[in-house]
Amino acid sequence: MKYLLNVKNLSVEFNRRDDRILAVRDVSFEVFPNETVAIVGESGCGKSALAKSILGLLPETAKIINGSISYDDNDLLSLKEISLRSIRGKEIGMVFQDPFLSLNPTMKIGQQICEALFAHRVSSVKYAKSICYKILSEVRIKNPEAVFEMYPHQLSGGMKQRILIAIAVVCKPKLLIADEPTTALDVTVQTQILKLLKDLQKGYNMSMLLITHDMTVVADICDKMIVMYAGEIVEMGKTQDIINSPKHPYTRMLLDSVPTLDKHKVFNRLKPIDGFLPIIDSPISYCSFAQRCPSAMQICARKRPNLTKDKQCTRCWLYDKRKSSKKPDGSQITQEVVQAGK
Amino acid sequence: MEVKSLRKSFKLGNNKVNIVKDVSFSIEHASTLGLVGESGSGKSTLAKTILNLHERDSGSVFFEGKELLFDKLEDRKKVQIVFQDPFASLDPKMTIFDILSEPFFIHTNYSKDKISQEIIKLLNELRLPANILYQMPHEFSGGQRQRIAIARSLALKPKFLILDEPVSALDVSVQAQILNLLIDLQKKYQLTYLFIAHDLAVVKYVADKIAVMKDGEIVEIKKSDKLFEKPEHPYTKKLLSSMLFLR
Repeated sequence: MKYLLNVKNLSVEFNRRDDRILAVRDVSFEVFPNETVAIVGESGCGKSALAKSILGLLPETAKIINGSISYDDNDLLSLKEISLRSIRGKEIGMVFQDPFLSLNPTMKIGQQICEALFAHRVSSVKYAKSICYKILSEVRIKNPEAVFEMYPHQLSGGMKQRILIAIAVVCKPKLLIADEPTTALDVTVQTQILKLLKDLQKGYNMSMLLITHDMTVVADICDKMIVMYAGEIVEMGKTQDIINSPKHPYTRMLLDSVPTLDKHKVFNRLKPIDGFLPIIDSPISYCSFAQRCPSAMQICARKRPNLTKDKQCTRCWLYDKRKSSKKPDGSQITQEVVQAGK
Repeated sequence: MEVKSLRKSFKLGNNKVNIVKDVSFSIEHASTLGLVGESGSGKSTLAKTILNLHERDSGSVFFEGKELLFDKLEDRKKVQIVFQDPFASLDPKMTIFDILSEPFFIHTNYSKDKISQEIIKLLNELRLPANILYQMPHEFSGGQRQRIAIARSLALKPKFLILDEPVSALDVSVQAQILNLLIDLQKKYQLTYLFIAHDLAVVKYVADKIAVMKDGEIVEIKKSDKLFEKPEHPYTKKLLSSMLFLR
């Protein structure tokens, strides 16, 4: 099958006065049509920078230093702003994190949705209005005509998020990027929004790139997941595979630190991950997780592991083939990992 | 700890909106009551009304059999609160020493040396390094800030702590650290907690009993295992069915 979005060896750096931070390092992945892909990781791991670089929305302090992003045979990084605009919103829609901040408080809801339509598809006001009503009822807003005339402050958080989704999908994009779409919402509203996203994805044949730090959301709606740590991909594969048998120690620890509602489990003390995300300012020659890793070996501090090439690929010396020929201290380490997993 | 028919309303133009409607509950010594409910259900208002940070319309709060009158400094010392957002609850212009010494200046007449000793003890307790005293809040991560906020609330050795969504602004990995820390502190100092959250899994992890709040009323209050096994109120059922599972 042909990919819809292909990100290859992408690196992004941020410059702040004299400081340099490599926010995204050497990230490659594909999104296929009708696929839901999740990007998970702690805050500061580069998830949002990655999403923003796809749409060319990075702030001026950021620079893409390497790699390519292609969407349906268009190289997004070499496009001029004007042609990028015809893709943004029309081909790739985006839902931002905070519904309280991302709507314009001085514009009526209807105007804000029509703005997207006028930019891409329609010129007739009447026609735009009818599409607006249709999309509002599609995102399950009960009274489209009334909401059309309202201002954002009259709506609840969940309704605002529905409006943002409506704006993002009104031009029927092929790819929807959702940056933490449910983080600011209540649990009951969260399930409604997730269901809405699922339904819209089916109805419109969209692909979805979901950015989140909530593992339960990923388990609920995503086919594939990408785990990021300190700007690089540490594990990538099918969601079910990773959640049932995580390979990378970081993924395992991330899953262990989530409180669950499992009835069969007796009280289990949560296992937090000690230490902090490292700040990385130049390409490194060691494993970025080594300082916090319970199963770190000597080689981890000396050489950077490669992403393995199997279905559930991992960036860890426990799985890197270059290492597996030398066994001696490896077996002891594996035992440690097994214990950590318990 | 006992709360009896607490009411709170706000004026909205000429209308009166009842936010907390006749809420009563009690919490056993050294246990945790979890309070869940959607945003706007009045959880935070309830917390603030208990402490009289919002003046209440009616109702009273009893602690160890005695009524707490919050116009007395003596009583205010016994109950403390940790707020949701550690980025908003620490004064950005104060050093950590200033933040942590403020409770002592208000409530005690300790000498400066004694205060410093107490603060160092607190920092040890919360696993914060002692050299942070003259740094400013912006130099810290969310988890560290929340630990500083907890340190401040524990400074005067209160017996009852209200935790208003203490982990919902934090990352999962840090969230687990703070939750474990809170459980350890409770065991060590026999603290009583009112733990407010909207994440059921988090509440289940820390709470002995759970109260479900909707539109300003407590609709169900039960031992936490029982609530998950046999929810009775339709709203509790809805809340439970909207939980997502990892596996």
